[in-house]
Amino acid sequence: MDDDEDYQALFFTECRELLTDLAEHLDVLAAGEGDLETVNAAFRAVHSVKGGAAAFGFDTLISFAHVFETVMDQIRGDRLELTDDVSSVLLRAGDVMEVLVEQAQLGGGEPPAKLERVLADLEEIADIVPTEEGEDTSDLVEAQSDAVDVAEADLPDETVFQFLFAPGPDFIAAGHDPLRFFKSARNHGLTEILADPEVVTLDDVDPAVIPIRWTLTFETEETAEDLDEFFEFYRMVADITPIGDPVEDPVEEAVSDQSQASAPDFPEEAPQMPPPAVKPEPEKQEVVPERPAPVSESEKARAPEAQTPAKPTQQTKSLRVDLNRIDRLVNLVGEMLITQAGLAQRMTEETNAQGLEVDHSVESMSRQLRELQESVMAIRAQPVKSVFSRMPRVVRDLADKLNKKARLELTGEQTEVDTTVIEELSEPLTHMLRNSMDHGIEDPETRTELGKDPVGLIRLSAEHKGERVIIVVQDDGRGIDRDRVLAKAIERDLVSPDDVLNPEEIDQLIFHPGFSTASEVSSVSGRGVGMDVVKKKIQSLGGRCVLVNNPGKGSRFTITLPLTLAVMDGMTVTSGGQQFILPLSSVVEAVRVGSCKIRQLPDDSSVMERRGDYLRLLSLRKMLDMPKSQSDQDMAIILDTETDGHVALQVDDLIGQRQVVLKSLEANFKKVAGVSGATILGDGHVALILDVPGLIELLDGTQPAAEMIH
Amino acid sequence: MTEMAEIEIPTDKVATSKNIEYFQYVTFLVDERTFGLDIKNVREIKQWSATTSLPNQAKFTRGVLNLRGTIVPVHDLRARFGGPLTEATDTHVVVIVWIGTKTVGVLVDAVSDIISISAEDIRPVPQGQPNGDGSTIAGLVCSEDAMVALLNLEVLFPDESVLLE
Repeated sequence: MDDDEDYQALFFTECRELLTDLAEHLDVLAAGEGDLETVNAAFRAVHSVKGGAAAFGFDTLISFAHVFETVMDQIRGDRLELTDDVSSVLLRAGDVMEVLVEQAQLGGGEPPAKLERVLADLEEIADIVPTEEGEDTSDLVEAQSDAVDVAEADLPDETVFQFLFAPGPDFIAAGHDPLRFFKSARNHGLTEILADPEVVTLDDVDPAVIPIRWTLTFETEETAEDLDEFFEFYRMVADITPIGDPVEDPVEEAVSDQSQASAPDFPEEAPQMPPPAVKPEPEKQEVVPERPAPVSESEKARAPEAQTPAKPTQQTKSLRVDLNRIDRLVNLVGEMLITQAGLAQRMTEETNAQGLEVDHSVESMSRQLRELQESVMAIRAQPVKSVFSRMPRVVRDLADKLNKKARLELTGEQTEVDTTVIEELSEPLTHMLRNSMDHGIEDPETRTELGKDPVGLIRLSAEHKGERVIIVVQDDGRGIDRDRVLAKAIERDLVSPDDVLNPEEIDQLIFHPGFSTASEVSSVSGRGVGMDVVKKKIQSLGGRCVLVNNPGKGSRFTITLPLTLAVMDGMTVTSGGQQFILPLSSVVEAVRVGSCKIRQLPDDSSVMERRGDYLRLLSLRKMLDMPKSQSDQDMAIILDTETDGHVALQVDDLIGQRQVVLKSLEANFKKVAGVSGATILGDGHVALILDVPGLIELLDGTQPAAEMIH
Repeated sequence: MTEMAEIEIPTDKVATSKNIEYFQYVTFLVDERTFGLDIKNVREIKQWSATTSLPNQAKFTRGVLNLRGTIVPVHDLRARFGGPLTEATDTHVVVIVWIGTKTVGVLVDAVSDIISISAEDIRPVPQGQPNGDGSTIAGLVCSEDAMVALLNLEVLFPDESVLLE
């Protein structure tokens, strides 16, 4: 029961990977850059999904995948030309399959409306194809396709071999699976599988050992040596003994037998299948290459290369690990870093002759720890591909809905970012693409009039820059219409008509909460939840979002994000005898309060003059109601609040810059306004990490200041 | 889970010849008054150390401390019951308890004893007390020299993260 669920979970994890691969391959094909290998890879992905779905009985998924697979098979057999129409159907089929997998996972749900349409399209292209020798296309299409391969080729005489195949006790333990063995053997002309009637009694059954022996009949043009080579891989764990002498066989018979034996799924027709315990595929590497890359010529082309045992070892080995385990490791390394920092601090306090050598050790330990931390973080890193690959579908769907044409260009998909960041990226990215599609890209007619390519271009790219990752969303649409934005902002009372704003300031208005330029509320961009949501999300991840607007030519959003959410660069300050961490990403500069002009405003708030600008001067001590201390409020840290421009935060002293390990307050307490988390200092004390926009919100919030201070 | 609990019985409950189940409670003092907590909810007892205060919290929330890498809030029991903030010194202790899935520290004056009591010994709190919100006390026990008020932690320090989200 539990095992089943585990396997199912595994299946869905794999499905997601397969679908990601599929989408990628289909995109390549649609761009006309694919070769036979791409087609094969896409076919394998569909096939593997189907195989897994069959094991769990997801009927809708199976039947859809089956038709999809048929079309793919025709393409790889060169029986169907990959025209633009075909590839667009394939792309949509990929999308539908994704939806079906999601539904299978969540259980139930209406089949998507697109299903019928896409299925009809798929069937249509499958049918268009003139079939050779009048094969029946409506029936078992896969069987047909395999049979065609055989029939159309000018086959040499085939030989019949028979073998007794007895899996040894280690067969399953070695990672083999009889089903897979038979499937591969099929490519070598396996036509008949007969289970040996002698089976061990129930008392002696060991679930880890296959109790059945099979007689396998091969009808193939391959020589005994070829088959030997194929068996070589299995000889270690199974007894494979030839029975009798090879017999020459007339071709016609071979064909009819062939088409029968290579019918789509073994499980349905082979009652002697192994017990279900061995079913689920243990590793991805073994699942994917189960079908070699056959070309439409003859059975010979299907021959061993892809099947040789050397193949799996060439692939990079990977291991699927529960994220929790890695998190524990990350935490532990964090602890060690803190302990180490404490140790180092004590070392500097107590220097003596002996201490010097210990000092060296402590120092090298610090280096090793940092390296350890980097390695652990690297485990959590994932290419942004997993998010990026979902985006073409978003753009496609929107293009459909909005009757626009657009092409999404992805670069830097291999850029690695921490998984936690990746998970959070999908939503803002989707939002931004929607925005580009809805407001940016013009409809094809307008674009043609403007002399632009009727197909809009959206670029999505990722790259590393130092300790941060930079993601750019750029479109070649109309850009942001400043007049409209300003008019809207005035209408919404966001600015007064008398305000003089420079162009950049107008652009920034789109990040204002509740701002949406779509004149009508469209289903695409929603109502007013626009760029402010994106900006909030990015900020909550410790990132920044910058907009460059080029009216008429397009707009560019640049998102800068930390590589991980587990550690952060921070600026340590003190206020009222307590240390606080400010995220370094929001610190602009630090100045001595004494060197600046401070003015008191009538409402008792103060402003600080800085290079001709007036900045709000906020006292951290007052905001947090901390006690006074001697070195009172001598420093001002100028911070970028993202929403309210720059502010100056008055603190007692500046300690310096350091990397901190983020700890959650919510784990044992609750979310505290103005505080994004906490970290542990070298001396074991807790320091709070301040959330600058949150602090400002607190200050400007509905609560009167007196109530805010407890 | 239920099986686990049954296995644990011998360690927590001291069986007697009469076969009455006994529960163990940790008792501690705040202002000469004795409070008790089921020993199963007590994770450890720690000497008071300075906490990092949090902005804009209830008065009885003293701040957070580092418990071997996890951040744990510390509440002042005296202040929670309406008294002034405890002027904590090295002799004060923080009882680290589990409340649901959360780990929380409770600042008290001193830990006094571990007592074994049977379910029969626990008396209900008289209803209609003028000042008391009775639900914060789960029950009363008369031990040899004092009356022990058994705390209801879920009511005293509710999990506010659920409410806020």
